[in-house]
Amino acid sequence: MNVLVPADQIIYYVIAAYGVAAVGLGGLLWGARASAQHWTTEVERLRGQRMDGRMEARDDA
Amino acid sequence: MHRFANPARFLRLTDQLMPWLLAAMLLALGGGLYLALLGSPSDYRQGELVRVMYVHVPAAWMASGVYLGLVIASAVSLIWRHPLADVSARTMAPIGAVFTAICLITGSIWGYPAWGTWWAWDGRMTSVLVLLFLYLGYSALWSALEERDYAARAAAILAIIGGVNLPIIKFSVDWWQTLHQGASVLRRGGPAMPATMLTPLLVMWLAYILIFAVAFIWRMRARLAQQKMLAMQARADAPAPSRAVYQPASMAGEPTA
Repeated sequence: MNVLVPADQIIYYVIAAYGVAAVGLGGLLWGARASAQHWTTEVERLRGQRMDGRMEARDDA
Repeated sequence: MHRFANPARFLRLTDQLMPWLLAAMLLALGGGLYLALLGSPSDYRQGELVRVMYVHVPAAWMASGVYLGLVIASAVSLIWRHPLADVSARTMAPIGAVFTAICLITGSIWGYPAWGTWWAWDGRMTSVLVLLFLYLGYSALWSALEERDYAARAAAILAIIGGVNLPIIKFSVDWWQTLHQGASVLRRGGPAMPATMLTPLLVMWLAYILIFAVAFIWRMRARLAQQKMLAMQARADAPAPSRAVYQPASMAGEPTA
């Protein structure tokens, strides 16, 4: 076998590579989902505020 | 094409598409991991270390592929000024940077036991590192310039100029003596690996493409919602135009209480 580390250590390199990929891709998906949820909620909140403001203005009138 | 690239239509379409994409992503990822870790043989020279290939190579393909998408979206943004083109280009950049970082780190982890070094300044590795800097520079440029149209134009020009790095990445292993091995899948004469290794590699690539699609849609939705909120805030902050107060004809002339 043409590898420069002892054969019993190869498993650690494989685990490290899959770990890096899992953290990277998992973080990417988690961040994207959290961001989508955050901004959608913000839009809904602002829309709700504007609706409340309009209703208050109508009540005042 | 333009008909489908409308923000409202994009949101409606992705609403319907998302559950299917998520299911396909999980299926491809599960199948790919099974084939990569259990269903494929070890290599006669590298032994079990070859399994790093199934996370490293698709990340490398995605890093270049996403950048090609970034260049195309930037060109569309510059030429047709389409509202979704620069939003989608800006959305792709951090995703591409993640794939490039995964490619570089897993490549380094693979390199140490195989070559005896974590890093070498050879053509392939250096050009992929430049790709990471291009992604980061593109995102930084967007953030640095306050005027949106100006930022979109400057970032698009940077992205298109950076596109020259893509053929350098692809052909670096042919043009220069490198530590990195030559192409073994996308090459003349067909893939130089058995189907038992090529199949898991392609399934993992499909999983990466679906991960990209899901992350891209979520980030696009976030970006569009953010733009909508900023527009709503700008409208709310703008001074209200003086309007004539509507009064029904029946009330005209009536004394007010």
